[in-house]
Amino acid sequence: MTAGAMTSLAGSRDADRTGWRQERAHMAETAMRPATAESDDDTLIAQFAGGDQSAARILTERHIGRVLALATRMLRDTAEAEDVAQETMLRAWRNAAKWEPGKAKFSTWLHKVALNLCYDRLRKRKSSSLEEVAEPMDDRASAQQGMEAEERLTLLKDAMETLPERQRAAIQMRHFEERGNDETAEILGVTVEAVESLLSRGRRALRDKLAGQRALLLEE
Amino acid sequence: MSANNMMTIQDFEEHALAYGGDIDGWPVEDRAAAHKLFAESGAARAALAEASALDDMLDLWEGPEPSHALLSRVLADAAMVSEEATAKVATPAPRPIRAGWRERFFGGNAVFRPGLAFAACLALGFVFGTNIEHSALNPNSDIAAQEFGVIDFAFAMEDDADLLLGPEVLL
Repeated sequence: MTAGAMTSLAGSRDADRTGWRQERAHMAETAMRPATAESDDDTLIAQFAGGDQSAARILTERHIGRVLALATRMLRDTAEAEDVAQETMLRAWRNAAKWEPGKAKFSTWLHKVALNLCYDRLRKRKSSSLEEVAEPMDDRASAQQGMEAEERLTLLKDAMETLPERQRAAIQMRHFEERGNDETAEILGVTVEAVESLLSRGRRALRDKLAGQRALLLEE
Repeated sequence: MSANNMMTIQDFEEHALAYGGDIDGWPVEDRAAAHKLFAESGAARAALAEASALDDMLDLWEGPEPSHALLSRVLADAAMVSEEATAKVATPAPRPIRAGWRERFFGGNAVFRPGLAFAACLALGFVFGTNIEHSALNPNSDIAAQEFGVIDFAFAMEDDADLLLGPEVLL
């Protein structure tokens, strides 16, 4: 290696070290500031890691609704969905100190964790006997609603439940959460092309299954 | 999409099926061509209406509101994790006491203990083995030893004489 190259390598190492120090200093400074509702997720995570419980409250209020909706639509069981939402947030708290700002989007990471927890529970359900599968909580809870509305919702849920897990998850990400293809692909762990294919197949299957009930569903 | 960036009706239908009835929710690079085709084609408008109907059916399923109990549980978890982290920082793990060499080699948990036991067995085996072999194969070994002793003594005397008188005396 030439002297020039060695000088340049040493220079880049110094720059890396300086950059790392500055980043650590910035994180430490961020962690000291009080959490506010306007703070971004990375800042709030750093603040929580620094011991600020109000940051945890803001993050929870910001994200738990979507995580719970995802789990509810995937599992169709409110109690199980709540367990998944709680476990997802617990993993976020446990990983807060190791969180690297800018490396990944916090909400994407959170949904990835939640989706994997849902997949685990769906796999366990498949392996357990039919008698052990709990009656869906949502349907019981909605018994107080009008019969017609309940019937329509049950039709939709039944149709969704027949879809393969990944098609269901792709529809959840794109339709219900309005996420882009790139983010959906990252959460599902597939390519962007695969996302489009999952969406097409899933929505086509849903359309075909619900074709007979369209008038009832849309009150046409 | 065709080579000149024109969207065909088949592309439009596929996109409507995959991404739903709102063109502004489709991939950014396809939106302009889709809007153009929507304005020009009755088939495109029909495909979009079909996709919108499916969107409306899906919208029937609203996500639940998180309960107060769930929020409390999540925040209690956050407090627990913070407390654990604080406790770790406040009380560093005790430094293990370093054992002396006797303890390390011969103590109850010594790593070398089985090895030492094996080596001791080997050494004992060698000593016993060679002694048994010697006495078993040479029953008159005591006599032979005495004879070798006499010869050794004779040579030693000869050497001494060489030193005192010179080799010529014996010749």
